[in-house]
Amino acid sequence: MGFVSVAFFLCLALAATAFYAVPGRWRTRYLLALSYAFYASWSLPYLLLLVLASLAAFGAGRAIAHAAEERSKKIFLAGGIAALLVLVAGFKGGGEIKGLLFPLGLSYYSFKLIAYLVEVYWDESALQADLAAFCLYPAFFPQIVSGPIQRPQDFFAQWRRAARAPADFAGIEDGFRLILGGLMLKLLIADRLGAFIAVVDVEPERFNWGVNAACICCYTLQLYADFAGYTNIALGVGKLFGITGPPNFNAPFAAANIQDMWRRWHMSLTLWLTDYLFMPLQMALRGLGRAGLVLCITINMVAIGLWHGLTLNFLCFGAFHALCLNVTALTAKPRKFLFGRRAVTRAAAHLSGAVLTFGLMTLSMLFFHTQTLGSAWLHFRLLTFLLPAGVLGWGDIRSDVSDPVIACMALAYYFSIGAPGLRPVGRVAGALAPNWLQYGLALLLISAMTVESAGGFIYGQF
Amino acid sequence: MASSRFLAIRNPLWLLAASLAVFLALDNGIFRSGMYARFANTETLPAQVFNTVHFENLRPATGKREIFLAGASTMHWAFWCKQYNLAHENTGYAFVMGAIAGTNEEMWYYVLRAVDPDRDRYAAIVIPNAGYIVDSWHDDEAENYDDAEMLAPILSLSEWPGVIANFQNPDLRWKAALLAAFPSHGDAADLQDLILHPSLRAARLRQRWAGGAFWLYDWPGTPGSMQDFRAGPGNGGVAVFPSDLNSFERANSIDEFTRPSPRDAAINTARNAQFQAFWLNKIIARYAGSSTILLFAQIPRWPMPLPARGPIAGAPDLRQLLTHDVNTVFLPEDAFVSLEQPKYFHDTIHLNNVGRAIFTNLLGDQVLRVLETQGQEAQGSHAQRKTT
Repeated sequence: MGFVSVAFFLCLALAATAFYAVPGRWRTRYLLALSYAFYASWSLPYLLLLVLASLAAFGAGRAIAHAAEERSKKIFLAGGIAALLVLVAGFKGGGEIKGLLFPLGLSYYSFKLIAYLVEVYWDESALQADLAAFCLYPAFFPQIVSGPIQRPQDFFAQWRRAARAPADFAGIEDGFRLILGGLMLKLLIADRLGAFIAVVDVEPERFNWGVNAACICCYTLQLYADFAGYTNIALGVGKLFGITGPPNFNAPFAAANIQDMWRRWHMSLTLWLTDYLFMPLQMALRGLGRAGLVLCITINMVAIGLWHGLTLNFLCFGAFHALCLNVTALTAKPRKFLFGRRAVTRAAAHLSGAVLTFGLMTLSMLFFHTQTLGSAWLHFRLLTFLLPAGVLGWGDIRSDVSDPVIACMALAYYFSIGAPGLRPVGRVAGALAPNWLQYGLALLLISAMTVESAGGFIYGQF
Repeated sequence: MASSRFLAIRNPLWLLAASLAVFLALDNGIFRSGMYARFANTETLPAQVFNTVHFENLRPATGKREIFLAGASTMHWAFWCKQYNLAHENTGYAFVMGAIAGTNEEMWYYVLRAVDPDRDRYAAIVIPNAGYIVDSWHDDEAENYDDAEMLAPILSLSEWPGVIANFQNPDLRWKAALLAAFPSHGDAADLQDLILHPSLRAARLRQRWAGGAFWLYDWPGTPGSMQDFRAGPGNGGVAVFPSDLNSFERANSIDEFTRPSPRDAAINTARNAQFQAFWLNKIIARYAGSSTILLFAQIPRWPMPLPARGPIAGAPDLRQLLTHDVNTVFLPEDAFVSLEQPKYFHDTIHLNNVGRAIFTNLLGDQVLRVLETQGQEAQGSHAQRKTT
């Protein structure tokens, strides 16, 4: 059952209503059963994998916490992490070879479980004694498809309150708003860009440069709208059950450089890697000076790339960003010297940096979006005039697909830079129309403007 | 987005209920009522269905006994009501065009319900078919979600269960049920076009409102013929296209020259025969006991035998699948075969304006002959009853 289906929202309304009718002591089991049922609607065998991974991590956490010696703790920790990483790598690498479906959400719940083991290792008080509450953490259905990757302490602390508390009306209304906003981003913007990409992608060499350039920009903007849309829905659904998940985006293309962008893009993953990979590595390699920093950044970014899949394309995606980040880190001082002294130059540098950041992200999307290096190279040659472009233009694409592309690109970009000026407009709208009227109109807009969806969420495949 | 405190609802259940109520009220008020369809793009198929019904219901009566032409584009392109009505002003009959491109028997049933609710408006209804012997084809006509989208603007809520039940695929049933529940769900491309090109839409609508249903009566047909058309290797068997065919018509022509697999042909033929018989029998049942004559006609099918529609062994005869009532008449199957020549066709399925002029007279005369004969028989039986 997908997030963008009427059936899902009908079930959700019933499930959320029932949640607050269930006595506090049963809520954990109720929500766990609900999460497992949601997962089972996708795959029953892989539900078993989720349960086994959760039980193994629960056991490993207890072993780490109760081990008397530091060495034993380290062994249990390393064993637990290795088992989870092998599971992810096995399915990402070997699964494709053997034609196995990649288990839904494996990359996300594995990282949650690793975070739990590391936290318990660092601080034994992070141990979760309640098995049902623990199993709910990786299985929590709003977050299982594509995250966000919530930290264990944050989740358990919120859950302790949510499991007993009465319905928080304001929080639930926030959830409504997030869900509606997410649906709009996904169905009204991302899917329209996706339809355009699907047409051009069949034979990009038949289209002219303008269409190809727009298509490549659309990769980035579609990914943003699709993933940010998903995240909003996931956060909104979580709020209906009293859980506030971590944000994944914070105006990524308002960033002045690519280093800053990675602090605002897929934040729950990048912060996870920062805390559990980058920082420990930096501590370990601090003696190497700049070379150590370069190594840390490179390992971190390659890990981000390979987290998406064990393919050459994702390796190149990670390596490309490692290069960009290293250049940014190493030129920080000269840039500050050149541009940082006057307000005008600072503003100009920020603006040009934001444009350059979007360009670099878009260029890296050639690896991210395509399946093979050959295909990425084809797109690159078309973009850089190394290959003569085709003759087909905008007019050769069905008008209902091509007409909204520019408007959707502009909207996606506007939201990706933080939707400046939207809040005052929202305040005026809020003063003019009561909340139920606003939500009713939003529902009508979604219903009337939704095109045939190209499929599920892009990040659902990771 | 902050909400005003005035009239704001805080309880989530009441908030959800009120939001849904607003949504459903607007959804039904704008999209189910036909209000939006008046502003829909004149070129989309749902709008053509709506407009045909809308203008037929607005049209003042001719003062004559009217003959309604049902059908798809093959009929729309083939018969020129204006020409025939002007040339035969004193017959007491007038033809009205109700054929709509892209429609099928199911849609004709619902269109007839919409334009003739009391079953007494027309002296006769001409129902064309592309061959009494149901031909093979690539597609399963019955499993086409577009049908539901096209019908949406004219269907009432009580008519939807029949449309939904007609789909065999559960996914299509679910999609059709959603469209029935949320009528706004079927107009995304059109609404998008309205938002992106409001001035163009306004100009088109002005033209339509000024011209009324001109396309139903005044449209002169299409020149060009299939005489240049050559079959050969490549392009699915097409070597040379007539120069005036657009890419869509060329693609259709290639389809017509591509023979479906025997298995697909057998499955689709059986399904299509069942589908056609089901809906045509519903039309027959609807007019049973009325004074309206239902005339079935095999209209010119093709400029030359088409591999895609070649008959398959054991293909059913539609005449045997339909109920023969006192008011059903089947015109002879060879009535228009003389027009099945390249020089009378614009493409592989539509007559050009030369073929159209001939077909208009042939069909019109045949229909009037049938009506006169039926009228005499009715008078005879009436006189006989009086004598008895």
